[in-house]
Amino acid sequence: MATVLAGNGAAAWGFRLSRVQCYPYYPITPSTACSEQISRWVHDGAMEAVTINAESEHSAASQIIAAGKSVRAGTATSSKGLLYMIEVLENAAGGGVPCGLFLGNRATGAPINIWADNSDAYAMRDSGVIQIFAADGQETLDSIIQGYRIAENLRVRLPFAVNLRGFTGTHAYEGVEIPRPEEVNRYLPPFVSLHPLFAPEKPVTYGAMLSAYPYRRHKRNQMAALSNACEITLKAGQEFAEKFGRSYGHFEWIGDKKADLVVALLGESASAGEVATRHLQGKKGIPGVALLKIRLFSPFPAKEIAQALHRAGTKALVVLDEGLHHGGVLPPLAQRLTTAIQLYLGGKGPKVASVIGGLGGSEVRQEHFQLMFNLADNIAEGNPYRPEPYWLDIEEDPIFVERENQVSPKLWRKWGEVWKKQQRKEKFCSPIPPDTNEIRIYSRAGQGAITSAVGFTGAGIQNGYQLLTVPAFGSERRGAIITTDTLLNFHNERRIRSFMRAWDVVILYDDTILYSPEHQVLDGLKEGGALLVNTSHLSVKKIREILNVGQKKVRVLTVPAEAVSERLGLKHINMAMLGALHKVYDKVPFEPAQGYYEKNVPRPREKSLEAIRLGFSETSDREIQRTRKESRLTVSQEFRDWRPEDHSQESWPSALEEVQLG
Amino acid sequence: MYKVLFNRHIGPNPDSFLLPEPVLDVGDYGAISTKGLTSGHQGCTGCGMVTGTNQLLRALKLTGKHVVASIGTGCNEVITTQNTSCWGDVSVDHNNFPNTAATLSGNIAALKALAQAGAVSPKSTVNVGIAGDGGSYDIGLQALLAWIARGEDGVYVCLNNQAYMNTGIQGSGATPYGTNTSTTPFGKVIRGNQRTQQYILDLALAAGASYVAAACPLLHRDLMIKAQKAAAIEGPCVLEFYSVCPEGWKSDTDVFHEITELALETRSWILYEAERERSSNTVLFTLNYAPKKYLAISEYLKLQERFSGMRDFPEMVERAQEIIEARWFFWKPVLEANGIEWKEEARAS
Amino acid sequence: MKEKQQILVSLNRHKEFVVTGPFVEMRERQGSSGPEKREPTESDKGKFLHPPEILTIEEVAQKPIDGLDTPKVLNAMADIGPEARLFVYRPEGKVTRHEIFEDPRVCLEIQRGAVIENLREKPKDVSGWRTHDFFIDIKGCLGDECGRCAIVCPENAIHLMGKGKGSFHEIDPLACKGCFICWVECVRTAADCILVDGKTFDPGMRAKHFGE
Repeated sequence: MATVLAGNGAAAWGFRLSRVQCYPYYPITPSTACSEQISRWVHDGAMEAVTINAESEHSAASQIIAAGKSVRAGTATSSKGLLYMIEVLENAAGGGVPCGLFLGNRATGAPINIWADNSDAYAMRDSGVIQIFAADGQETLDSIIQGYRIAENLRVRLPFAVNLRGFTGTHAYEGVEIPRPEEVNRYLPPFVSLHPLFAPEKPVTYGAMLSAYPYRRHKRNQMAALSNACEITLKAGQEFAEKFGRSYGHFEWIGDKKADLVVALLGESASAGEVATRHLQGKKGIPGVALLKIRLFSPFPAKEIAQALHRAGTKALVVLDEGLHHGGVLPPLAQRLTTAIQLYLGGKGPKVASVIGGLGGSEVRQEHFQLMFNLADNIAEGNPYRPEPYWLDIEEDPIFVERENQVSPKLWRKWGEVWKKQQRKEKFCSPIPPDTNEIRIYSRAGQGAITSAVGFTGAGIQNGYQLLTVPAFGSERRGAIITTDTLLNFHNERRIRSFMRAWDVVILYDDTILYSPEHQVLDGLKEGGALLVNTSHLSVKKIREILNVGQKKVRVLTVPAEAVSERLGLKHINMAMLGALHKVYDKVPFEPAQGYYEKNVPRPREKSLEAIRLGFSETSDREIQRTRKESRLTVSQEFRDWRPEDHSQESWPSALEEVQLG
Repeated sequence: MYKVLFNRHIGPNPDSFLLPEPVLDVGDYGAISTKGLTSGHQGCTGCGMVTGTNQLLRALKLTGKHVVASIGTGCNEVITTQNTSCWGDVSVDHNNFPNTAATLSGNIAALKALAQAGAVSPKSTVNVGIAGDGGSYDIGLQALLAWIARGEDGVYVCLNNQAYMNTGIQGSGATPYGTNTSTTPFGKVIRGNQRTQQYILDLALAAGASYVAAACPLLHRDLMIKAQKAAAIEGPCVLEFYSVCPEGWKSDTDVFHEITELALETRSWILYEAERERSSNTVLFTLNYAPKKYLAISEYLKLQERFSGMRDFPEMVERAQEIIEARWFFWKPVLEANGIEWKEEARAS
Repeated sequence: MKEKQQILVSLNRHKEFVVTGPFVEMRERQGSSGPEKREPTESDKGKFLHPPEILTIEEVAQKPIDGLDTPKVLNAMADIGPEARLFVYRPEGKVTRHEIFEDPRVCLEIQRGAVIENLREKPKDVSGWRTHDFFIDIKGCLGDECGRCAIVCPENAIHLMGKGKGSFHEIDPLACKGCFICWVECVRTAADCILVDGKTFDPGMRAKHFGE
């Protein structure tokens, strides 16, 4: 039975099931929640581990490296925190210390950016750590358990890091199977230190100073141990599959067995790629397509990947990197793939083009993958392409250009000849029909929208559907308007994690959001979709008026959630809104969902359940006589347009004149 | 802040209100059964720091516990582990330069985890962190103060030779005023180190250490009492050893005795300890050594060429003297209670 | 007027810490013998980790391990080659885990994985560092009554030989770097029995250190 967990929570379960004995931590977005969860367990006595409230990532890393010599140790970090750790992480690899890291991948700036890309993971790639990229919470949990199995193998004994894309991975709530502890215990034996410090029988010295002769031998050995991890990862994945039914390898090949066109990437963005690949598969005039989702980044399974491309008869490979090359020839993944192909396939290998995307939280959407397959097709046909990376979503520097004047003359001079021969093809870019249902909540930070969406997700999962909830995060604080999105997939045979951004339901937790100039709440709402507003005084008619809905086919419903919560003495309106959502959207049936809520709603339980029931029953699309009148003052356009005048500029000319007169 | 009390008695003190029994007083004479490092390390001829390390290890081993040393990069580490290990029956974890206290913390956590699992008895191991002054006063300060603030049970030892000796004698936070180092050269315009040195034990005490003590290997009885006390007292304990460095101080290799004695007589190195009673947040200060006669700082400057520049500038020597007097003033109540003058003028011969 | 006295909270079984004004004085505890003496608990007794063994084929051949099929193990190791190792973990004498593997970290000079087993190391010969030879005249040495040279030696080169009367100290000629610290210590505080280059009297050094 799957449980609803965010990626961070899944990582925490990975550490818990691995029986991590020492867990130092230092908070950094977006991986903090993993450490919070573990501290909570340890403080509640649910998990037996020693946590250390470290004062920096540098110390947290030092502590896992020290403790990892005697016990199983782990920690979580991201971005700059990882960069701060790198100074010591080499000592873990050099000293053969098998400790574990969970990384919520995030941009490293500057400028500061808290959202996802792989810059941090790329920055650590020369520190000798085994790097595994997970695509969702389940893979994260499973990979941490496997990570310890790989890292503690006698032929490896190295640190490992499991990477998950920030927010869309770390903060996405979805169904995760939590393996039974006793089964994990059978898969992952207790930690045995090869050279324990607490054994006076055999005192040891770690981190001795080695001169060139032993140093170079040791480093060669260290590299041999790291490359052993390639084979051990495969074995650990196979054994994991035998025990738990979920199989993992070096990479995942999604799509056609014979694939002329392949797009390769790391991690979570593959979920959008998968949708695009399935859409293109078998379409008329499109050759075999496949997505190469690489899981093991370090040590890079070069030979295995080259062989897979060879077997598939791939002609063109487009590599998506969510990070930069900083003066290198190609970004890290593209660089590794090109080298692998050159070494193992020589001239017979596919041509490789590089694309940079997904930076600093940029979404890599389904249509991006369509473009990348289109690019691969053009390359396979023998058209010229850039020897340097393409960029996603840079308007003035697109992958395909229709007209010369679309881009700056400077760029046209450089790439015009290539662009002329690179054509966007309709067969690759046909719109993907929406296959999922999607719900968006607009709420104010602090109103509990995430809790209600996660509850809804849980109820849906328990009733056999695949759901995913992704809250938006930024620097917004309490009171700000935030969004929380939920995706429902009714195809049980495959997982879909990527949003179409076409909403079946839009929910407003607060009717004042209707007036926010920054938020166009009808944007993206599907034809026939529903808008649900928490209001005690606005009528459906009034709402249609404010939003200027006109003749659009949109259902508008209201629920007096605040009044319901007030009546029950609840602080939050989210439970009433959860009930209301069931009324508006009936594909997750209310009756069976209640069974889930009875066990899982926040305290006070009885009142929360009552609020859900009342929210359900009091939601209506009819004109209802509301008890309260709108208290909002009407605001004139002049007032909205008014800005404080800037007087500072006015004195300038005269001041200048004075100077000149002088 | 904390309430300050003074031990009326001046001298080495094997007793503590934090310990049920006194620690072993090895006395001024008599063979000591335990061993320190093994021989053959790569340290300078006449290195006072290794003498301190030896005495520390011998004292810790007297407690009968297994010693696990988390050591920071520095002279002490590189001279004892180059392609070998001179640590004998001590288990050693060297990680890096800035993270001695964090490494110590990790090892303390590992011991705790192993004890929770019933795999080891926690009381039979002592975790000690050893770093130099650069690794404690400067780059490792964050980790050190955080380790103290977390109140973990261990011993941290700063081997203070008052500059970055391992990298070629650059000025650190512990370098005294006026010193000529390779990054604070005695120039025509800027004369040596313009900072006054910091005091790690003051910082440690402010951060909440259970026990802090300054020692010197010349008075090994006092040093070994302090090391054993630090091992026995619960919570974070910080020791600082005066570490004569012939190379960095530009002195002869045979003047270990004379330099240390001058440091003590001029009070540029004060032997003291401080124990914290947590329930009332009281700190008891004990002065372990009061010079028989006070010597002027100019005497201390004579044997060490690192001070050769400032010797000729009376205003600099005076300033150095002022720094010493300002610090010595703290001990006025104890000195007066013992009938000792605390002013330099009154006692200088 | 007598100042108010207080007793500092103390675990000490023998001493009381009496506070008068800013001062604390230790005095023997009167009456009760202080806090109860704690009997050593189970956790105080030395329980330590047992390190696993990592054995070469030769080591396994020499010392067969109870509970393992030694010929089978040896065959498997021989198949792997010289880098084959047997990992054996027997915390309570009985083998609980074992594994034959090809060790990527075999590095003869520095042992496995840059982790040094201290007791396998031999001290380096640093005798070349010194410019004078030091030798303790055992006739003058006070032996274990003194030990002052050994405690100040930065090289751990001075060892006590024997016990009680007749014991004496010896300087390890491989370990002594010739720093003069023991000599100064012996002259100042003990028997002045250390010979430098075979001489008991070095006028230059004595003048320098003792103004003689």
